[in-house]
Amino acid sequence: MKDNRKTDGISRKERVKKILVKVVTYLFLSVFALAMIFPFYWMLISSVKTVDEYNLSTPTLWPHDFRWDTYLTAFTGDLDLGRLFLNTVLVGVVSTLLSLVVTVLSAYAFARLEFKGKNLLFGAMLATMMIPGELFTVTNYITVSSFHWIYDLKEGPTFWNASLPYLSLIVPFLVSVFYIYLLRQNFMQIPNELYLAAKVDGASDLKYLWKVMIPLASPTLITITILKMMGSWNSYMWPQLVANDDLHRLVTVGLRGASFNIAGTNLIDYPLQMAAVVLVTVPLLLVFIFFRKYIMRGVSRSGIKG
Amino acid sequence: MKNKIGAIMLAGSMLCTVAIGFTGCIGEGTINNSGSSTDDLANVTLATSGGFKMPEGGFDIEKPVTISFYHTMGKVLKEKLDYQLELFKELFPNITVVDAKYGNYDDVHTQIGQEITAGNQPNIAYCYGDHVADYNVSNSVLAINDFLPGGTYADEKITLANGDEYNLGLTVEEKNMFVENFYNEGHMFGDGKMMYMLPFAKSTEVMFYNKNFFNDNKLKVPTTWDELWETCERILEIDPDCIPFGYDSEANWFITMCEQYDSAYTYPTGTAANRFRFDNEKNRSFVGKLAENFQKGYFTTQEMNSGTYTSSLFTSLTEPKCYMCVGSTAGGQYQKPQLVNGQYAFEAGIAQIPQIDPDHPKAISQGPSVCIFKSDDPQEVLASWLLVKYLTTNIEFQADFSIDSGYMPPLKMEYMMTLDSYKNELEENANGTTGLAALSAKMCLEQKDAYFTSPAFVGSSRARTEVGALLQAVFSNTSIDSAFQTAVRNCIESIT
Repeated sequence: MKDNRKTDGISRKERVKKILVKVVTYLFLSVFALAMIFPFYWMLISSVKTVDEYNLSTPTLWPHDFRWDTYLTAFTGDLDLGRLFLNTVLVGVVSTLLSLVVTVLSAYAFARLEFKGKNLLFGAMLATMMIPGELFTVTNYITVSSFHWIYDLKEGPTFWNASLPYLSLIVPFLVSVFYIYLLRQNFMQIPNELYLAAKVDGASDLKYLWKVMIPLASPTLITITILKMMGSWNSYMWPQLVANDDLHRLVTVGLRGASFNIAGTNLIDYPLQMAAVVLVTVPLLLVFIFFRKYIMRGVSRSGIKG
Repeated sequence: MKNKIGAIMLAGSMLCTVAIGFTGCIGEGTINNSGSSTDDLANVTLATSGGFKMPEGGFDIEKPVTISFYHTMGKVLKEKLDYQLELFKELFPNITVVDAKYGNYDDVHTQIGQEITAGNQPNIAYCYGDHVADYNVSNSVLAINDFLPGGTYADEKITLANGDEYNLGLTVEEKNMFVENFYNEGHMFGDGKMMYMLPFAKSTEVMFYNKNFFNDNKLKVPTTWDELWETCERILEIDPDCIPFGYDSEANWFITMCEQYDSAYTYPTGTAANRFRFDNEKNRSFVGKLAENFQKGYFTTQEMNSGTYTSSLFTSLTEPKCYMCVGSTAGGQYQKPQLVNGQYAFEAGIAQIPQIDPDHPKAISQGPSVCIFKSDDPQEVLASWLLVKYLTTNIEFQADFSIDSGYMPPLKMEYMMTLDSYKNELEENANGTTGLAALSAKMCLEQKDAYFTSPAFVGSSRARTEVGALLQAVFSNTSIDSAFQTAVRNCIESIT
């Protein structure tokens, strides 16, 4: 009886301790979650405020008057969000598809094929991950410029002058050592016996890759697709340098450089700017919300922390 | 090859944050630890040639030539530009101008810095002196001396499409249209003999004050710093919850004080240690005085106001308010009082910023200039020069641009006032509520002799950043000794 009371006492203490730890943990997480969410909330409510309300020195947490025309103006006004979206989607989709092809073939070669200098080559590729991408910017710029992949303002929108600049947005980033590494690790986890069995059945390497490896590695491939699309959507520095003209501008650059002045004045229509930011942010946010499990699964399967 | 390497180095440095870190293009200057170098450079006689070689037969009005122009103009200003480009095309049908808008001045700078590495730079661009100093690491900007009065091709004539004769260079009359100090900014480089820019649109700092508050409390608008501190003390007695005075840019404040005290700030040539001259007794003394007054609660600055422009305090309806505020004329619309029940909360007044010597006022000059880039095709260079000359000396364009942008024209008031629409804008629409831009433009044009700019060289933008940080540090209780030493050390390290 005495022992039971003691046990009850300890378990009650432990329970209280557990609850306290949970309360503190959730409080802590809630505070940080709020800190993360607040800028998005601010962006959303600012996008539907009137300019006068936005400019109040004491900001309002909930709009007095809602103004929805900002979202329409973002598409129909000077910003030309439609064109920016089109360019971004085009570059994002094409570069993701091509990047997947390059990544799958390279990862397969490094995971399954035997050739001279394989490990040395892979090590050299990994070593390039240590070099910040920004350092390649100047040389990449000179390269794409010498290929005439930069829009020539003086030549105007001729077929080639209008088309080639898309290559400067896509080609330099087709090879991602990180994605190759990620997929190679995943491919290496697939038992070799499957490969040997496929060989006995007379399957070629490509057929084995297509029929066995790709389906088994699909979570990682989905992860790579999402990450690549997100990277492409968010890229700013390079597109700003090579495609900062009306025809080829991407959403990030367009948003950054747009003038949101109220016609005839030097006043800035911040609610309109916020509406444009919401429109640009929402697609990515949705992708992340709906596909986050794939991102986490793909990364964790490859034994790499994201 | 040398130029290419320079260009690559330039771009690399820009990408690594700010364009700093070179010691090229530096001549030796005399060491002078007191007095400003801006007056010395302004008085230098320009070289008669910038090195441009006129093609045989001069400018060919038959040969089509396309030139590019990078700027930051939004839709409204672009419409004004397009209109003028149409008129320009009537004068010079063979010249086609294509233009591109970039986000802000730094974006134009970054873009061109990168393009120089591949030889893709535009023909004309918006610029600040610091940018030109960076571009000239690879010797890319054209010195326009040949086209200025006394220059090699100043009197060269061109026959226009309509048969009229047109002077290629800037005539003495045209040169005299410019506010002298704005014009002189164009050669605040190196030994001051080469002219690289013409002023395009200008802004400066003025003091906005709450006219109603001043009238109600019988306060006099301060004209000197001593008067300002006395006024701050009085205001705090009247409204103990306020911060009487706001100054937006710490860096501008430091540089302006150096100029007003005639104490050393920077020098464009010489060794690294000799170029950053702002650590001296005069400057330490005024920084000490500012820190003292900051502790008394007399003022705040943008960074000390959590990074928010002090205009937010000036227009605020709740405490803490401020009743005097020094800000850019280009941002005059942000000083507009708020509407309360259909009435403006107060009327704003505009005055010259406080001075050390009100008889010799000094106010910083800001705003974009334009520069021309070198090109293998001399016809492009000539066409670019013709456009730059046309836009900068065009009263109609300058008036339209000024009214719509809030910037002031770089041309003297007597020339601007010859245009009725501009005269009306300044005389009829200038007021302390809806017409602040016009009111400030009027005041700025009147103080034409007050403007100064600091010399531009590789590292000058860093000096500006560091003196701003220095003031912030001192206001946050860092010792004056330590703040000055850190600022100078950072400046020197940035170019060695």
